[in-house]
Amino acid sequence: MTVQRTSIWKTIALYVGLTAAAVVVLFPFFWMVVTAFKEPGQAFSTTLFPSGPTLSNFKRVLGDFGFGRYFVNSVIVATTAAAFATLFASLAGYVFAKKRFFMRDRLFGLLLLSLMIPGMMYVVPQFAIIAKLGWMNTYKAMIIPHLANVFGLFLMRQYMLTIPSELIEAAEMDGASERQVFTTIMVPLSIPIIATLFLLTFQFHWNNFLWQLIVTNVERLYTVPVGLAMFKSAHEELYTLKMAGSCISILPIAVLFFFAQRYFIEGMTSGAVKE
Amino acid sequence: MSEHGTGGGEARTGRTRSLTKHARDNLTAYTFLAPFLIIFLVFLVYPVVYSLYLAMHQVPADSFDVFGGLQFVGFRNFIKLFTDVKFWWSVAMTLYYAALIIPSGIAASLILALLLNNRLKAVAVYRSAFFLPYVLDMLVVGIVWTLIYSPHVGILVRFFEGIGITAFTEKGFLGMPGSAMPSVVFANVLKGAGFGMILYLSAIQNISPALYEAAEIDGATSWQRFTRITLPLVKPITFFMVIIGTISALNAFVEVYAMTSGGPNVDVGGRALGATWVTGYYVFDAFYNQWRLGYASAMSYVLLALTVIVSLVNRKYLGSDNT
Amino acid sequence: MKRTTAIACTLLVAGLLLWGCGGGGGDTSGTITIWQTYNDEEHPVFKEMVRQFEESHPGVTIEVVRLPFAGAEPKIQTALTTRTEPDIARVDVSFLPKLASKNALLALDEYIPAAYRADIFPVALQSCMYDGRLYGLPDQTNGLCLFYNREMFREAGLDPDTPPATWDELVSYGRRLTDREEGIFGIGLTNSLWWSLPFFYTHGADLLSDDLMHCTLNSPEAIAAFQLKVDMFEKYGIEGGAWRAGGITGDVGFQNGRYAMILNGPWAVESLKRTGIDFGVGLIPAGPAGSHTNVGGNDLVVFRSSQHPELAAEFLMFIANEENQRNWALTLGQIPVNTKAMDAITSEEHPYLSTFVEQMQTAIPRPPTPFYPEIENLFIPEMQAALDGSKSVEDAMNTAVREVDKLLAGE
Repeated sequence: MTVQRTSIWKTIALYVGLTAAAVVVLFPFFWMVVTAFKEPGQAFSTTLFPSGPTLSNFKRVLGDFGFGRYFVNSVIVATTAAAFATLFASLAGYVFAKKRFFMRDRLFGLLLLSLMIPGMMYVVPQFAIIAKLGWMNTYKAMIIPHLANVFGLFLMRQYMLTIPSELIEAAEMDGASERQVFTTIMVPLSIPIIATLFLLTFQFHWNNFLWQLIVTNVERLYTVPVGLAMFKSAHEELYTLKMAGSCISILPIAVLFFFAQRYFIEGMTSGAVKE
Repeated sequence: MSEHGTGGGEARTGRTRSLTKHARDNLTAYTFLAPFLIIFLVFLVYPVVYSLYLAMHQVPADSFDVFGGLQFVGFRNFIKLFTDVKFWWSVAMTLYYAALIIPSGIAASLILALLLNNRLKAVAVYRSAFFLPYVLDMLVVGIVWTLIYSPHVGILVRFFEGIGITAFTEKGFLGMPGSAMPSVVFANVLKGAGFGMILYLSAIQNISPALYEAAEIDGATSWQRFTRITLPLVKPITFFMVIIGTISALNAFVEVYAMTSGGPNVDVGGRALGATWVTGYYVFDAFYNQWRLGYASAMSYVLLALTVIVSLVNRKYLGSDNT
Repeated sequence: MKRTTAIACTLLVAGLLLWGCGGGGGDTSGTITIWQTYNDEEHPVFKEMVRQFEESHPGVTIEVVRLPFAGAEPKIQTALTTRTEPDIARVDVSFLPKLASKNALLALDEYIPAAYRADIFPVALQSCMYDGRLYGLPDQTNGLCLFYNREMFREAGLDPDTPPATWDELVSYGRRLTDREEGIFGIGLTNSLWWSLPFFYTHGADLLSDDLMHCTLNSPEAIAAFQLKVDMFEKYGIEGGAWRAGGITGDVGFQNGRYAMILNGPWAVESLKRTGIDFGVGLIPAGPAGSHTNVGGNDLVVFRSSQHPELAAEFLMFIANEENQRNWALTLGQIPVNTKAMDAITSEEHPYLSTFVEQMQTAIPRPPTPFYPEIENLFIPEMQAALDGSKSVEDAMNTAVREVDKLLAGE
């Protein structure tokens, strides 16, 4: 009897605690959405819900302020980059998992070391390379430099190690070429991890801000984060529009997350601690 | 198409056959590896080397053709760094950032993990809710928090006014040197708590319930069970969070860019320095605003050195448990 | 799989390379690109001017790229380093020397006839000179004047049509306007080097020596000038601490009736008119060296790499010509850079603007040093320290001058 009673109280307390925590954690996004729907004059009202919600901010930001174009750029860059990054990481992860080759372990060590490099260290020299190649203001510069995703390679390798080698040997015995082994055995069996990697690299490239800021000088190439940053400098005071732009900025990732949470969560935390 | 002979076809020795296979494996491996490796070497390895080269040069004074006219200056940039008050201040601010984010990040993740570690119906929903901010873009998060922290009109400022605290009204949370850094860190902690939460959660769920039962039988209170069993057993995660927090401070940039641009100025012995002027941001400023590419590169090398030190410490404490 | 990847990559690269190529042209036709930093009010007016230019120059297309005003300079630097710069850019007056010193700009002496130059407001034209050559044309010029609240003057028994003509008068007016208990002050002063220049200039102090190698803001005149500013806050108590961290800024204080006087520029006139405050604009009070103000503004420059230098120069002359400058002035309330357009600004129809025009006749431009922004940054904390009393004015100026001299010497 007593156990039953404390259980109910405990449950209620937990729900309260969980909800309170969720409110705190999600509050900025809630506020962003709410403000985005308010009339510009109401930007600072403390009401939780706008009295006359309007879509005008979104329309203006997409049309007059170019966010429609920025969105297209982000989609192009993020999708292309994710596709190629996933492909390259899969190819590379496969050979690290299943093949023995000259300098494999040394190379692996180099990859490990590269994870230590702080992000800010890359900015200047990568810019130098882009300058020398004449790639400024091109999709090339926006996509290619970050296509070698070391974390992705590790994920692939980890996963592919678990695919039994006997399958591969059997296929080779049947006369399969390397290419066939990869496409008919490894890839189909790795779909979950490939999907995960695609989502993670898509998310990385969608959110990648500093690099895109540096290599794109012309508005027609801005991705959404860059466009948002430029908008913020130029129109600090247009709060409702800023919030509408912010909503557009996070919408695709939020939607992807909604449908594929497990992939995100498992993918992002799996590399963290080896258990 | 068959790439090697069938079982009985070769009159060659086994050793010759395995050499051929070995060579073939090498060829395959490197072909598959090529796209990744080329980009890795060109864009991830070479830049580290080139950065050192840049660090020992300075940009020409009379031209914007930076890469064509670099002037060799040896270690001058590093020496300048060591006598640069602004740089040491940025290191101090970075340490301050780390000192704030590590304990609060750990606390936040632990609390969320403990809350989720219950067999409630809607746990999955909450779990996603807590993780969502981690996936979203820091720039956007920063921009929204700037609005929330705004002087006079920010919702948080209004809230404090409502409970009688007007200290933040005039300049907002980000405009006052004392509150700027904590406010930036707070926004970041809320964003990242979900990540640590997952780690702690899986570690906690790995603890055998028998341990808790035994403790309960021995009369231990909840608090004692937490501090004597849970905490010690999730130590690896806690250490990991410390490392993550430090790396996070060393790489901090976007949140500062979005919220404070280096922070409200503080008068430090006659010089005006930013209250959120972390080294990551200084590297950006030296590069993008001042166009001192050599100096920025030298600074990034110091950041690298700090990161290496952190990794070495990590290795020492955790042995070979962690990567 | 590898082959298709290779083909896909090649196609992608080829497509992008082809896409990146543009075309050139002769010099009476072609496309010129302009990077500008106009705000939302100025932009449509500019676009209209562009359209007119295109109409009168068939075969010429002008591509206008907008950049945010803050943050345009890194973009220009990036473009120059990667050789992707436009033909023309609009830059702040203090950025031009830096660009010119790094050989990024085209010298326009041959393209802009002396007769045309004679029509350009001298002080504004001077901001485009570097090392004796002309590197651009101004498209906008401004400077500070004294704004005062006529209602508050009336209430204090002062003549609302007569602003103080000297600093001494300003101090005595200020005493009558200040009511410390109510939090009302005679004046609110912004602190930065540029915002303090009227003090320095009216006392005959100058920023740099003629050879630009030595800072002269610790001369007796300069110290007296800044001492006056400090005294307004400390000794006379007529300044409201607008320069303090956490203080009420000049703009806000003036709009809320906390400051009876502030220094401000022509850009503030329209928005102040909208608040309904009864205000007047007067000249900077005279010091021992007379009444002088500082010079801000923007210039249009042509980059060395431009394929259409003549066309670009023509465009610059078009923007600064009498008609367009008159249009700017009347539509946007800005000071015209063309002296011929200045007589359109009569004191009856444009009381505020005509005061600014009058003031600009004795304005003093900043020295053409590439290091102006850095010099600002070195002075601001020292001035702050002098204002809040933690350092004497002499100490503060000497420290700043020392640092600036080090900078100028190239350390």
